[in-house]
Amino acid sequence: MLTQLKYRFLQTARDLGVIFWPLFFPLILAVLFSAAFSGLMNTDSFSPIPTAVVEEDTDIAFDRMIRQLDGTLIQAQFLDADEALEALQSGQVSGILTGGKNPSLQVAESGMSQTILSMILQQYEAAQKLIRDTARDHPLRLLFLIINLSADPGEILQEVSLGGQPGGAMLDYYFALIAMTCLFGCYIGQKLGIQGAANASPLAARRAVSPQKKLLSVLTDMFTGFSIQFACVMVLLLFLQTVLRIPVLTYPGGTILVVALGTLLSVSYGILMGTLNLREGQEGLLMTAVPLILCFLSGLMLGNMKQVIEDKVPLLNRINPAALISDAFYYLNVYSDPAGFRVRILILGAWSAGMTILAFVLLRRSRYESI
Amino acid sequence: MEQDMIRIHNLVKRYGDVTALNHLDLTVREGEIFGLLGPNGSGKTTAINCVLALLKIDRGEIEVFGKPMTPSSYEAKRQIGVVFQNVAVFEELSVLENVDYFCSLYVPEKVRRRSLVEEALEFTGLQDFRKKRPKQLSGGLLRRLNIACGIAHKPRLIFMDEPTVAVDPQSRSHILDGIVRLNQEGSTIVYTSHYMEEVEQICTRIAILDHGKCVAGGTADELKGMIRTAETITVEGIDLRPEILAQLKQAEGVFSADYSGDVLKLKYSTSGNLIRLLHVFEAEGIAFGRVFSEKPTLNDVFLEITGKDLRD
Repeated sequence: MLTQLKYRFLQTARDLGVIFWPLFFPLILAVLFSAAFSGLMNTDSFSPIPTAVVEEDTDIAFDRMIRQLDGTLIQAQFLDADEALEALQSGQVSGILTGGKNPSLQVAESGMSQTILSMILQQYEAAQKLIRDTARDHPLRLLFLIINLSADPGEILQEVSLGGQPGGAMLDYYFALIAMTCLFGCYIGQKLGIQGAANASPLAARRAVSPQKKLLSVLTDMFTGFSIQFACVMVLLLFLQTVLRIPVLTYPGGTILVVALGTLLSVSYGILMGTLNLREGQEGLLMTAVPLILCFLSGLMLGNMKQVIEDKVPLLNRINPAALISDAFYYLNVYSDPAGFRVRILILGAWSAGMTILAFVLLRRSRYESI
Repeated sequence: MEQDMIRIHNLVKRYGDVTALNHLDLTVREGEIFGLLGPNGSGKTTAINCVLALLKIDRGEIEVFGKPMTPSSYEAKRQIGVVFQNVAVFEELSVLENVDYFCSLYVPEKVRRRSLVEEALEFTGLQDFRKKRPKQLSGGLLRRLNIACGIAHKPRLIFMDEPTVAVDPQSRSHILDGIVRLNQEGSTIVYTSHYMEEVEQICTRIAILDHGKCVAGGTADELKGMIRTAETITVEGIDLRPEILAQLKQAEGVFSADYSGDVLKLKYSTSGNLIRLLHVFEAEGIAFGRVFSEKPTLNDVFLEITGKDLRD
């Protein structure tokens, strides 16, 4: 048993083609994120972004945020809607921030300045949502929250600023990155699935005709996949925490729980796909497109994507494993909201359990229709 | 008395509308090198996979070592070794690690396993390659590793499914010698191939499969005795007049004469006809290029029984 476990570990860990995605790729992305965000926050070399500000209704919070940021991140020009549009079209400003009931951002082109403006707006909206949700769900905590938010929005930025890194929307990227890393366990799982189902590879057939009990073989494979993938995610978390100083391990217990469930889900999904003996086109769709789409919807590529989905189709955020993982991190590390965290964990747990059972059943098959 | 190692009775296996095994009956006895011969798609590999309890069967009975074979026949599986047609090893493990891993599935005791692994490496001539990864091995060495992984635990019954496919002649010879050695050391071997020369060379008994059925069975000589052809004479570079061809067709023992291009092929139901034929050519003053006589091959057996070539 130990011999087989040793060789399964060795064999999986030595496969750079498989290990690259859950181990090295996220580290590279994390460094790239860090470099990009650090550059954004380096105000010494940073010129404030010319921004038209349109205040449609009286919105004290919005106004205070703009004034706080004016001269540091943005160079605000208070205009009416028509003047702002004219300024945008003539290139005098990079974007128009409109306050009021439905704050919005209008830009004419894409670029770094526009990304920063978008993040400012997201940060503002996130704070608004936090107040609304707290008032609705936990009114008693509202006072505590107001005290924390009583400072101007710039202070909010400072408070969630992480070792020189901006918080809020940018933190979304890191959490989505962790979610993506968890989901990349599907590649390890797929390999193990192919090597475990006799109809998927001669290697699996050779293992299947051995006297080793199938249950033992399945458990060995699942444990191997889970452990290696879990280790990959933990390496990323340690890297984020210790090198990039992103506080992702503030609550280790909760963090480990999220990572464990996410890992179990993705490895099981991969095993399931491996045992299904997919054709090339199906494999591309189910093993590459699905994880990427889930990560995209959780905000890995566009920071405000999750918020957009939350506004339009909130159910999607409740069932998308990537969104559940990044949300769980958010609830754990930013909101400190155990109830929200529990809900995400329960849904993620249900996903993981369902997927693990399915993978287990398929991998445990001992006779096949065809090989 | 020799024990039946495998008994297959009335085995039917269908893949959808295709019947891969059609009421197959086979018996493999202890100590044999049993050849399963047939063209691609004849059901050889399917038959093996059914015996190994990898495939669901539609009908029939399979017994191995006198007991019904199921996926949980662990005691039987412990005594079986399999060398699959496709190389089935871990790319990321070295030669030694691969053999040790597969052996560990059968032999948990480390000390005993170590000596078995060494023996398997020696047997397949892989001692000098123990630290190499499979991708660093040539095709022939890879096939040998595939065999080492299948036989390291010294099984009583070994299935070898076309182990010499895409192997150079030198490695093929090494593999065939090894199979005979394994048999001499006490293993019963089921050997599938569509290379009839190999089967004829090493197998003590042969079953010819076609369309999932055993169309003939016995020793190579017994199989050859089942067909009409006793000798085939081929003459190349010959220019025959029609009346001579007609005369040859009427000659004693000739039951088939085929003349196309400048090649004449005569099939006899008796042997020892070459001298008589050469006398005819001499008497008629017929020139020719090359002439040779062949005893019937398993391909002739297959051709006569099924009406098609083994390698079709």
